[in-house]
Amino acid sequence: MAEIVATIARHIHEVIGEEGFALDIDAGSSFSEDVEIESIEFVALAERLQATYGERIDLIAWLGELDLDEIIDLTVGELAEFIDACLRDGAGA
Amino acid sequence: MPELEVGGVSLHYQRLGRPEGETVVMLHGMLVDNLSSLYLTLAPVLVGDMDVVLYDQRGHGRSARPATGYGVEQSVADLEALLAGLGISGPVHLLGNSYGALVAIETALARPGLVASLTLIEAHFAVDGWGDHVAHDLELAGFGLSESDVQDWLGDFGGRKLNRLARKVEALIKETSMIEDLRVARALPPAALRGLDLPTLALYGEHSDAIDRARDLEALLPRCELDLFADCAHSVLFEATRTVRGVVADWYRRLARGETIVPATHRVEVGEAEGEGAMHQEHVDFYKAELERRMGAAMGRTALRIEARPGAGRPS
Repeated sequence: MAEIVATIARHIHEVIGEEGFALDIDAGSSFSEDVEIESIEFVALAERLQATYGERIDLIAWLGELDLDEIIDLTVGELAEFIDACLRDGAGA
Repeated sequence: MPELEVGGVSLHYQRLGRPEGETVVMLHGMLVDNLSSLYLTLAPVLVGDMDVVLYDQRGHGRSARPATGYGVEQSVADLEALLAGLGISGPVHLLGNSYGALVAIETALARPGLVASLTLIEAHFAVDGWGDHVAHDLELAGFGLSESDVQDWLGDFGGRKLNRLARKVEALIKETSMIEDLRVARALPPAALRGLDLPTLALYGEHSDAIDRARDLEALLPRCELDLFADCAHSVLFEATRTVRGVVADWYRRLARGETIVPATHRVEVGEAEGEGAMHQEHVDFYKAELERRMGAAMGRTALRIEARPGAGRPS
């Protein structure tokens, strides 16, 4: 899990650029409140994570299970948990 | 990030879902919008069956912001060129929100063979005076962004996200021909809409400021289902995301089954936590009226200053 959180944090820094490097990102960081990520940056992050983890995760379909409020309130840890669960499923298959 | 050069302008796009499925192209709204709004709301419920294409229209999101080319005709040309660049020959389903819905309608009129169906969310299409109306709203927004008084009045929003958004919107209004391009938009003749014989789903909030357009589509389009969302306004996609997702997913399933679409109008009840559009619309009206008052006063101040200067001529 810690590794996935670190991977997400690295991608966030790269997507947001200069302003993002000052951010301290951990599992409890909220995308909206703490990271203040723009929704178009969130798309870029999703694209990078999808490329990193490949077909083992289906981020876009997962977003469809969440209400807009839930997407807005999402934390780095929740996203990491989703990825972790997908990777475990894949490993067990 | 995937980009395609279209007429010298780099457009950012996302292609998701099943390449072998029917293609739906999603068109976002103007100014503060970009592909992310449809990426987070409607794309997820269609990727299981369809080939979903989203892109940032010029000047928006992560696409380039050229100085010119913000008229509807250019938007249609950009869409056509993007599809050609992606090797998609159609027919494709077009889904647009607000201004994106207008682009969808105009594309269906300009290139009938290219379009299989229309899903129009809060279509704000051109009638007489529409261009002036939109240009005025954009000028109002530009005024609001540049006046420090207005910033103070709106309160200390601060925050990186809002400031970035404000900077982008300001650049779009002040550094491009968007206002002038939209001011000269042609009105859509009723006869053109009567001839638009495509399966069409029109979605509006029942409190929408574009509700007259909903009634136009209902009266003129030969195969239009109109869904009016209870207690929602212009932002119905965000006010009732879950319900809109269900309606749109069901619509494409029906089209895939080859269901015949006949004119019909429904009132759609929304979920418990959804709606409140009447209140949102009131807020929008309130802010707009206040901005108008302030812009009027500011223009008056400017004129007074010029006239008070000895020897100054009338402002041109």
